[in-house]
Amino acid sequence: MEKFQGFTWVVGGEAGFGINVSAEILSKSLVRHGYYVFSNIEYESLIRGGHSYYRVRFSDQPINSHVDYIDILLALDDKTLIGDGGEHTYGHLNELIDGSILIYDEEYSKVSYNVIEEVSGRNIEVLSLPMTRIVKESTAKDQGRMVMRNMAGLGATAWILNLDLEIVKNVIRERFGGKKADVIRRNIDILVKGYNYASKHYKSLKIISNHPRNRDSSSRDKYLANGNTMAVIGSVKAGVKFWCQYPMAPATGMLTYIERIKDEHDIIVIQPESELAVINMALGASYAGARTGIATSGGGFALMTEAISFASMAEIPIVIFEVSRSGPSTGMPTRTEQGDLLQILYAGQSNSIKAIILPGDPLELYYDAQIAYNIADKYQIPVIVHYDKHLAESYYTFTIPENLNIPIDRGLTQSLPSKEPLYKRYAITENGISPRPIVGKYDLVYLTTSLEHDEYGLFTEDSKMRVMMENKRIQKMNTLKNEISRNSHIYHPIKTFGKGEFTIVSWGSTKGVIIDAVKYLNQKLGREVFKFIQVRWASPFPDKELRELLRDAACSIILEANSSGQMEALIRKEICVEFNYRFRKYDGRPFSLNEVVNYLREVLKHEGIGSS
Amino acid sequence: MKASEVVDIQDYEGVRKPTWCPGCGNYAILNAIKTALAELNIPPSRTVLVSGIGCGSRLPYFIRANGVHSLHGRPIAVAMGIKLVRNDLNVIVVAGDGDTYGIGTSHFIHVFRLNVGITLLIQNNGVFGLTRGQPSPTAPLGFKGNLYREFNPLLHALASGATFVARVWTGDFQKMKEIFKEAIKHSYIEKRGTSFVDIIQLCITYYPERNHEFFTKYFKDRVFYVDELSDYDITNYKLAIEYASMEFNDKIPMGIFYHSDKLYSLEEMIIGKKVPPGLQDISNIDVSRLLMSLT
Repeated sequence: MEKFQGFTWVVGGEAGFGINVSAEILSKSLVRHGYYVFSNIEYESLIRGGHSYYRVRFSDQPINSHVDYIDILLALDDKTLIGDGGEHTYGHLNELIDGSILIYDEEYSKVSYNVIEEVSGRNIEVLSLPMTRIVKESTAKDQGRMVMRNMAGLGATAWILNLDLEIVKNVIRERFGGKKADVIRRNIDILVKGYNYASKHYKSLKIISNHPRNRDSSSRDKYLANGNTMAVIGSVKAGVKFWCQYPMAPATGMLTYIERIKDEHDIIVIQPESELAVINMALGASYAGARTGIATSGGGFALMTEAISFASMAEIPIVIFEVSRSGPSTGMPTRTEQGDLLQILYAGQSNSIKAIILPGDPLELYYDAQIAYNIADKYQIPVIVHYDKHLAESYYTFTIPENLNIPIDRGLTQSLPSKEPLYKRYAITENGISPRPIVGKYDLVYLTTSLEHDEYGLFTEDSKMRVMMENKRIQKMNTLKNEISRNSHIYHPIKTFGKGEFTIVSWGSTKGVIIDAVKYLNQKLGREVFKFIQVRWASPFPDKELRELLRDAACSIILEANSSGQMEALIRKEICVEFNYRFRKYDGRPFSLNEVVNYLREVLKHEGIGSS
Repeated sequence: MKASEVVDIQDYEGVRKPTWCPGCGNYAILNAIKTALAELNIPPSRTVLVSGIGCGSRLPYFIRANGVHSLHGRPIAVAMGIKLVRNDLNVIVVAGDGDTYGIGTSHFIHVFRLNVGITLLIQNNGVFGLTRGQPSPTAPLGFKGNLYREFNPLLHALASGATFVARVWTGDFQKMKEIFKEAIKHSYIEKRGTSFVDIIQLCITYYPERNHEFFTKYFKDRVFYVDELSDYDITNYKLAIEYASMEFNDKIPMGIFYHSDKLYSLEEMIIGKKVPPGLQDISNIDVSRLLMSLT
C-alpha cells in the first residue's frame, strides 16, 4: 500500500468506550506539538456496543484527508482486531502495514495467540498493554470506570509518540473542565500509568524524536475544529440571535454546541416538536428582526420544503445548514454522502429562489456562515449552506487569516416615510430588492404573504402583476449573481488549486482529499499535471467562471460522493459540459487519499501518461 | 405612535374589502378583533396577525395591522418565532379549524407546552370552505357523510397545559369581543403565555344548518356561558375539563373555561427585561473566546 506523509493513529472499540474522548484529546495534543491533524470518526447509529473507530492522522505539513492504512492501532476490544464476521466490522488488522504498532490488552483479549503471532510476523510491533488491570488497580471503584481504559491506551500512545505529558494533561483538564476534579484526577492518573507501563516495557518503541514544537506555547496559531463547530461559531459571529433545531444526525452537533454557548452570547435556542415547527418558527423570528439559523439533515430538510418556498415568496431571510447523511430515506444516519444537492436545489414549488453555498472545509464554513446571514438579510431569501457528515464531524487543522473579515450587512431599511396606510413591503425596484423595515419598530404596518401579491403584499391573481413579481424575484437572483462575480475575493464562487491540464472538478468535503492527492501526484510527477476546481456555489451557479476554466482542460474529471453524479448533472444543465472521467463513491465512507491517488493514476494510465 | 395616544377603531380599518360570502361569520370576527384591539389601546404597528390558509385566514388583508399570511397549518409556529424574539409585540394567530385542529395539530399541542405569549383566535366552522365544503376535524359525525367523530379542541388545549381556554360564537358579538380582550390581556399585557379562543362560526355557504336547524338558531337556543354560572370557578382545572367534555346536545357551554395566571410566558422567562433579541445590536460580536477554545 502506498504510504503518505505523517502518521495515522486509530482507536477502535464499542460505542461508549470513550473513543471520541481519546481521539479528540490526542488530536488537540498533537496540534499543540505543532502538527497538522486530520481526524475523522466512523460510528454506528446506536448508543452502546457496535463498532466505532476514530482515525487521527498528523503531519508537520498541512493534511486534509485520511489514508487506508494504520501506523498505530489502539484496540479497546477484540472486534477492532478480528471483527465480528462483518456484522459491525471485519476488524482492522489488515490495515496494519510493515512497521506499524498494535496496542492491545492481552490480559483482556480472547483473540487466539496465532492471530497476534501472524501480526508480529508481518513486522508489526505488538505492545501488550494491560489497560483493564491498570484501571482496576487505580482508585476508581465505580461501575463506569472501565471507560477509562482509553486513557491507559492514550498514555501508551503518548510514550510512543514522545509527547509532552503536561500538554496531554492540560488538554484532558480542558476537556473535562465541567466535571468534578476527581474525574480529571483519575483520568490523568490512568494516563500516566499507561505511559509509564509503555516506557518501562517498550522503551525502544518511541518512534518520534522531535516535534515541530516541543513545548506548549501561549501563542497558539493553529485551530482544530470540525465543520459543525465552525458553522456555529460563524453564525455567532454573524449575530445569530435565534437558533432552532430538531436533533438529526449528522447536524445534531450544532445543537449540542450552541446550547453550550448560548448564554455567553445571548442566543435563544429552541428545540421544537418537528422540523415543520423549526423552519416556520425560524421564519417568524427572522421576520421579526432576529438573525436566525437552523440546521438539519436530508429528511428534516424534506419536511421544510414547503416553508422554503414560503420564504422565497414572502421574502423572509433564513439561513439553513443542511448536513447530508448517506442514502435515501433514513439511510445510514451516521455515514457520509453528497446526495442531497439536487433536493436542496429544487426544494419548493415553481421558481422558489434561494442561494446555496457549498463549503469545503471548516474554515470556509466559518466564513460562508457569515456570508449566508448577510445574503439572506440583504436579498430576503433562504440561504442554504450545504455540506456532508464528513465535513460536519471531521477535525481539520487550520489558521485563521487576520485580515479576512466579513462585516455584517443587514440590508435593513432604517427610517421610512409612513404616509401611506399600508407600507409597500414588496416595492418593485431596479435590483429587485424591496426595502424591509423591522416590524413594529416604526409607525407603519405591512403585509408578508405566501400568496402571489402586489407591491403592498395584498393578494392578487392579476396576470400582469404575477409576471412583475416573478421577475422581481428573479431580478434579486441576478443582482446577487452580479454581486458574487464582482466580489469573487469574498464569495469565492469557484476556487482553483494547481494549474495542470488534467482538471478535477468537485464540491464540498472532497476538497481536502483532492488537494492532498493533487499536491502529492504533482510532486511525484515532477510537474503540474493536475488542477482542482472547487465549485462553491450551486445557486446562483457560477456558469461563466466555470465555463471559462473548463475550456482549456485537456482532460476533465469529476469526483463526488453520490451514485448519480448530482453536481455533474448540474454542470451539464448549466454549461453543457461533458466530463471525460467520473469517480463516484456512495458506500457511506469518505474518499481516502489512497483511493483518489489510485484513481488518478488509473486516469493517467488510460490517457497514456506514465506515472511514477 | 406614542403610547399615550388613543387608538381608534378607524386606525385598524383595512385598505381592502373582505372577499367573504355575504352573511359569513368572519365579518363579526373581524369587527370583534378591531374593536378589542382599539379598546385595549394597542396601536396597529405593535400588532402582528399571523394566519394560515382558508377563507378566515385572509383576515389580515382586511385589517390595518402587520400581517403574516403563512402556510396551511403553520401560523402558530410562525407566531411563536415572532414572539420569542419580540416580546414587545402583540402577536395574534387567526387561523381556521383545518389549520389548527387538522394539519397543524402538533403546533396546537406544543404551543401550550412551551407557553409562548401569543393569542390563538381559531375560526371553527366545521368545514373547509375555500376547497368547497369538505368536513373539517370539527365536523360532527354524519355531516355530509362524515365517518369520523369530531375533534374536541378545548379538551386538547387543557390536556396540553393551556393557561387560557375559551369558546365563543359569532352570534354573540359583545361576549366574543370581551373574551378576545381577555385573551389578548393574558398573552400580551399580563405576559402569562398562550391564550386560546375557539370561535364557533357559521359557514353560510357550506354549513348553514346543524342537525336540520339553521346554524344560528341552533346555537342561540343552546348556548350558555360557564363563567356566568354562580358556582363556576375558572381557575378550577377539573371543572374546566368537565365542561369542555360536554358534547353539543341540549346545552352548549361557552365562555372562559379556564384561566390560570400562575405562570409567566416562555419569552418572559428567557428575555425578561433585556432588549428583545430581534432588536439587539449585532454589529460587533466577539467570538475570540470560542476560537481560542479550538487551539
